[in-house]
Amino acid sequence: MKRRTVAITLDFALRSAGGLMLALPIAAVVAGTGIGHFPEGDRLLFEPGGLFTVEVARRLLGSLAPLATTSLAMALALALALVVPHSALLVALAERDESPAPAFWGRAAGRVPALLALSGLGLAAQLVAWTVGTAVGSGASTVFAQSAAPWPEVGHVAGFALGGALALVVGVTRDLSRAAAVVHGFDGRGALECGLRTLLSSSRDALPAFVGPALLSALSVVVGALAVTALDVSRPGTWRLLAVLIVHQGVGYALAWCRALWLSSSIDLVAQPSIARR
Amino acid sequence: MTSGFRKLADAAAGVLFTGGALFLAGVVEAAPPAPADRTAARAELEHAPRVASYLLEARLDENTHRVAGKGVIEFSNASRAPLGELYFHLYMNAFKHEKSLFLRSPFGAGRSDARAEDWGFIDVKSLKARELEGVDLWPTRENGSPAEPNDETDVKVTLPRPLAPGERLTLDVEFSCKLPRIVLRTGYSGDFHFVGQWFPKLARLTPEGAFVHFPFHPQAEFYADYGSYDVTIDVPATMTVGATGERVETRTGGGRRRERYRAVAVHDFAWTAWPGFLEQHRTIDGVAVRMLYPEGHQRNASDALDALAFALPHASRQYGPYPYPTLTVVHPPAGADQAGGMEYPTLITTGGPWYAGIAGDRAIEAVTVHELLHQWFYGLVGNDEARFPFLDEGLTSYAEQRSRDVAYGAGSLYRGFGAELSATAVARAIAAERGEDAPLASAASQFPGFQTLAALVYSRSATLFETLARVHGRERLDRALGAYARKYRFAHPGPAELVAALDAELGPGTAQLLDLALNQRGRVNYVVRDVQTAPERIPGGHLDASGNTDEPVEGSTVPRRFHSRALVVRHGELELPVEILLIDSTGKVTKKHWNGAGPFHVVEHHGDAPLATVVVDPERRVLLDDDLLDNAATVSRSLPLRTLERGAYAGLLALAVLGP
Repeated sequence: MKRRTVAITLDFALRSAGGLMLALPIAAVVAGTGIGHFPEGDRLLFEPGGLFTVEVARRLLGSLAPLATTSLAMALALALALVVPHSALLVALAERDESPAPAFWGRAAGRVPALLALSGLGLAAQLVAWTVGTAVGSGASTVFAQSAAPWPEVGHVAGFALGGALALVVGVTRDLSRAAAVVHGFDGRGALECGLRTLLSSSRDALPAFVGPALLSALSVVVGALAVTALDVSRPGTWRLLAVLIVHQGVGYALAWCRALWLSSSIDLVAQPSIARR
Repeated sequence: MTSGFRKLADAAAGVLFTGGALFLAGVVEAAPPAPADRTAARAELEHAPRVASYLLEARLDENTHRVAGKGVIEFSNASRAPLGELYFHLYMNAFKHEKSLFLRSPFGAGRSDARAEDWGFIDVKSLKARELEGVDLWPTRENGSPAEPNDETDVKVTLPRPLAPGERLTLDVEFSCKLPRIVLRTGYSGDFHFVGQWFPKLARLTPEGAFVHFPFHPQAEFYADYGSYDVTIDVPATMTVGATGERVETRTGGGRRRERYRAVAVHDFAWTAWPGFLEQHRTIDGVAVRMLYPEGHQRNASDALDALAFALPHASRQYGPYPYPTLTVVHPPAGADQAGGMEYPTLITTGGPWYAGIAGDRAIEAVTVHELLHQWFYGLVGNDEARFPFLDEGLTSYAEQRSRDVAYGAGSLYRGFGAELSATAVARAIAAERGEDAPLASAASQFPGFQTLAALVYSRSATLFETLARVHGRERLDRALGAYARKYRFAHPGPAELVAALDAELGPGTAQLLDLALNQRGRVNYVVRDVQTAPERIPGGHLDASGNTDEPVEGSTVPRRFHSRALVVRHGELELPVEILLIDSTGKVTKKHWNGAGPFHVVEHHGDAPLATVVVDPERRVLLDDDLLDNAATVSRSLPLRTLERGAYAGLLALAVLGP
């Protein structure tokens, strides 16, 4: 139990550090606009009305695209690096009894290549699923528009929903496959086959196991957003910033626990004898 | 013209003449002061000038998208000079072919970049003047703008004899109008029809006897004299009709519906017909508001009506009562978006997708309030939209922003996810970005493109007025604009009249400032530079008058006293007064005033602590300031920790999606 807690905390801490790394270039660019010369500092950027938010955006208009590209590349690199603590988390969740540390880390390291392969494949598949969904939506929207339907945009909404649902199914399969890679020691391909098998044969169990933590995650993000809105960092007081930091990190930690809850369920699902036997 | 219609035309022409007789030739600069209440405002309509009045009948062929029109145009020579010719605008001919001024640009049709997908045109069959022995004037027609030989939107008709000042002319007209597939504001989309600028429209006559006529430019709008409109619209019985004015008669039979609309003291008439319209009705501030919208847009309709519930009485208080009994609001269906966002007298069009507003944006409210405010700045105050578009679009944009700021506060453009964005903030940024591209008071056709026109005429004008309000006081600006709107009700003022109204209320220097801002691309940017601090000193050296003392006096510093200074620079031509905030290292604040004269101002500070921060215009009054981010300087700037925190959280969430 202790190792699981440590593994979840480590996973969260590294994600949080990754988030900070992604934010640093943005903060540096904002600092360069001169907002720090004002006595209010970057509190101005959060003021109702957004006078300075728009002004800073205007100043940074030319650098937004390169900044976004850099951030995306950095986020992808970080996402791949986070496979290592994720592997440790999965191994910790899969252990009935805590193994000695060297064995634990050895096992975690051994699963990294398969998890990396599954991560890359999963991300690519999710992109394809999203693209297909939105393309279908776009086509439907065109058809609706030609038929003078009152809501031609419904096609787009349906497309987004379809793309999102497909991406979600891919994500669930990816997670089950990762669990299979850790539980059964499969390579990438074997893990994927096992993950698909699990999804097809145990979808009734997999769906609620996924949806419960997912809803909890969404709820924690919404509650966090409401709390942060109430705290209102545009008003004076360093304590507000500290409180918002605590709330956001608390949400991040809650997300890590929700993810662990789902991963634990996915481990149980792929560990079923009926799945493992095939 | 059929004989039945002739009888109707004769009877109605009598009514129009009665109104026309009330018009005094030559008095077009300023109408009587606006009345204080709505009842008086409605009575005022009967006494408003009527230079060009129209009694028309329009029959829509929904299959060919043609409107067969005929009727009577009643014209009064309200000028001081005899007239040898008349000028008509045939705006629909802008869509006749790709050699028209409107369509010949390869970059699309101005405001929307859209191209005409089906040709539209107007064919005048006859124009007979009763007082001139019924002679058909149309064969004498010439191109009213010889510089545009291929354009057919501006037509001159020569009279067989001059029309004396005060003399009236009754013109029997017959025409056919083919609508294009909807482009910009007019045309058809499926069985939806929006019919604007569809009849031969007399150009505006100045008191000097010159017609203000021009070919239809894609960036320009319209200009006409006030008059009465009595229009009977004949459509298939399944169609719902919306139009300028008050519906006074409805008849059905033979699968057709005939609706008659009357409007007094307006300068245009537009209408729409579509079988798919749903309706909502609400009485707002004594005005019967009728909302026409497609299925699935009930929420949009309610949002628009709610916006009007605030904006209509608010505008009436600010700029004089809305005098008309009705207001029709049209939300075009999908596929006819280009009919949206347009103003006509007592009829406005909104628009937007069904999901507008769900995520917190106020797009529906924005377009609805904007078009409503045009009822004053364009409608009641009838400026030349082609020559000085800032007079209507600029004032309307400011009035719209003001109305929305009062109604929705800081979230006037968007409120959601804990953030609030104001229309004023966005307009300011756009204004600053393109402030030097062209003079603000340019003619619509003189702007290098519609993006520049929009940035300057809409956003920069609004920001200019907002700056005046913040610098001189909101009440004073409101009084000035209110006085202008009331004084020139049912009149045709130009920039000089607006500047005079502002100068009278805001004080000396305003006219000069406006000349720079409107005509000379005047800009302003306040910058704080060089915050310096040194300990205060008791002077040393050879201090006697001759300077020949053998032993110099030793200078010394005064304990805990500091002398600081900072340089505040004004770039640009616009001199606007500003406050300057001086903050020392203990947080003590001193405020100084600079009237903005001269290129720079050195601020001195003596105190117990060194100067830490200097901020110019701390209350953000000068929204015209090109760059707000150089308005402060400090000896040690703070780190953007809130940005870092928010970015780190966003990054964490991004990794939750992208990561394992």
